[in-house]
Amino acid sequence: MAQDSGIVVDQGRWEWSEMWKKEDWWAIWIGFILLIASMIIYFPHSGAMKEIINKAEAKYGEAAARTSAIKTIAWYKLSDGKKKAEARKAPFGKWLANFTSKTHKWTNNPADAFFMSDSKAAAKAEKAKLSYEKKKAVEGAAFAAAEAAEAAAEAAGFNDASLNGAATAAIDKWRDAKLLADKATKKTKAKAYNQIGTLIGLGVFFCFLFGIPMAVMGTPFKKFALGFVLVYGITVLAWFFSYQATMKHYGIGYAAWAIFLGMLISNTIGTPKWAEPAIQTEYYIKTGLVLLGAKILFEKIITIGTAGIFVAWVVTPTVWLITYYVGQKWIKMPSKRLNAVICSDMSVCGVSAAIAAASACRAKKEELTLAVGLSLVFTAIMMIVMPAIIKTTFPVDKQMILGGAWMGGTIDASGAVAAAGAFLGEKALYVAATIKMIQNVLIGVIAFFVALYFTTRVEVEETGAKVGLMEIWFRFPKFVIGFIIASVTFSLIYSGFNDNLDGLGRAMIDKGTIKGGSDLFRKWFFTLSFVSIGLATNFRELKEHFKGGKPLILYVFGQSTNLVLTLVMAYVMFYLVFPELTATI
Amino acid sequence: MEQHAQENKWWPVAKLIFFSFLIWVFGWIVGPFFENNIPVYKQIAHVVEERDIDSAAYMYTDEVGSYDGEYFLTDSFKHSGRTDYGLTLAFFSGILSCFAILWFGWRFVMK
Repeated sequence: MAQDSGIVVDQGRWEWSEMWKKEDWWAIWIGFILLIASMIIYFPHSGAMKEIINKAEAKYGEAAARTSAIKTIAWYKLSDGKKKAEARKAPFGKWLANFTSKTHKWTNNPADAFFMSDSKAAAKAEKAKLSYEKKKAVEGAAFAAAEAAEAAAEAAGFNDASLNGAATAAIDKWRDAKLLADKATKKTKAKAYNQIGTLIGLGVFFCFLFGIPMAVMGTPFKKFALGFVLVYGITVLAWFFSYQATMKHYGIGYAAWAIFLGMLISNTIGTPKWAEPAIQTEYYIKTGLVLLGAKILFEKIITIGTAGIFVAWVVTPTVWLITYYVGQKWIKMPSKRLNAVICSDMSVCGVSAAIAAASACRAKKEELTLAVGLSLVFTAIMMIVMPAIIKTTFPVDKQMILGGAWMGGTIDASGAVAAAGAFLGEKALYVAATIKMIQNVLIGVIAFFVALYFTTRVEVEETGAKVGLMEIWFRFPKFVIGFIIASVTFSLIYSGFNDNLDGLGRAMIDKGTIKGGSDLFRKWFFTLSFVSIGLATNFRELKEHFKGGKPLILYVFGQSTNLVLTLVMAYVMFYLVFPELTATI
Repeated sequence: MEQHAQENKWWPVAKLIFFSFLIWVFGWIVGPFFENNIPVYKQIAHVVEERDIDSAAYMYTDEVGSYDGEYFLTDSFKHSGRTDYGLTLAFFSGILSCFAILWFGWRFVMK
């Protein structure tokens, strides 16, 4: 767990005691304890979930299956009915979501982030009702038009292309109106809250969760707990700022704030010595990464078909390798690790990929900070520029799918992809978000590849020692194994549920153990690690890594290559190779 | 000498206050100014608010749209009844291509 040089270095010889003396292993233990606890909480609810899905099927299944020429109203209602099956809605799931909840959204009054009185909540709900009623009326009218158009198409046996087209357009319009009305409904249910107590309770829980293993690893619990107060405090502050309305619009999320606030303290008043035992970047990151593994579900890569797999899984490693090669041979990046981390965040999926790659190749904290910083800046720019370019230059019939695939394959962060996609329309959002999701699955493959490359090639070059299989095992970052085991295990469980009943995997894994379990903790753990990075980062050292602007040049080159290759591949696959399949979206 | 030491003591605090002030300037003056004056940005901010999108999300599970998109697309393809969707040879060739590219990189590019 040596962090003195900013790099985590494994010892050269295997000892069984490593399993309780090293953070790599503790990350696996803590991650799996949380995952198993989530399964114990949610899996007993599979019967109730099946019932909801079967009920929807019984009510709308037959009507939905009466034609495959268009997606009828009943088809959408069936889909909506199935979506209601969410294991996390179980009472304990609701309690857990509340307990691990971050601060609330706020605009001008910072107090809104932590508490809201009954009267204020009632006033907010009342205000939202007006907007809801308007949207509900629009939805009602759109639904009536959709019903009429569908009836006309059905009268022609769904064989008249123009009537089918008119019905599809009317139904799409109704879906858009329904989506907005549903979102408005949520706002009418504003409730009073007081987050302070739960935030303190959660801090105490995390303190024990990480502090006890730290004590086993040799750091006195009291010392860890004292430092953790500062680390956790800044973590809460990072969430507080990321939920401010303007920051949210700009996509400046918790990672950016955590690093920034940590650096602000370390480079102004200085990081206090007493906080150092709790500044455990690798420990928090690796635990979060093991939890991340659980949601890397392989079945999801099939979602958008072969076209999607070529856009996400062929372009991404190509861009990674080209950029890495150019970084080494032409730009002459002084650090191979920084080169690899930038390649990963730029080509795969931004912050999450950067974290995984940095941990896999043991990059310095400053290198991760730099790569994340570049990714965040370009994400904010691309989120605004790309939809504008698509809207003004793409043919109208290709804006949704080609535009969506282009943005999904190139914009780094999922949230920015969703915002940019939604700007173009519902279908663009779906395509963009799905391409990004498939890319997310690639994190595990890339992290494993990077770990193997650095263990067997780069570290050998650096130390001059030859490595055998056992030595590779000694040096290999063990949390990657936990990450892969979690991914494979949950992929199998997910597929098993789906084999049992279509949609059960979503209800039990996506909207159960992941959304209602691992995800609730993972974001906190990543924020703790980013705060630790900030608190341990010296601005002067960071500047050293940026010398000559090489990281920026590398990022711009890589992203430009990514933009060109993704656009070409998306066009070829969606419109030249699989046009009929694309037409069904 | 003593005064100089005292100045040094306050300098870090002054820097902290100054940067905190910059956050305020960005969040409440510069940020909203750009938001209100760049039309595309204004529209995106509107979409984000209206649809309650977490534009700062880093992973697909943080964003509801990803799940909705996945369900929509999967159900759409299943509904179409097409045989070229699913675990086809073309699909596997995509996955194999990914590993082949990485192997090529490992063997020739990253030597």
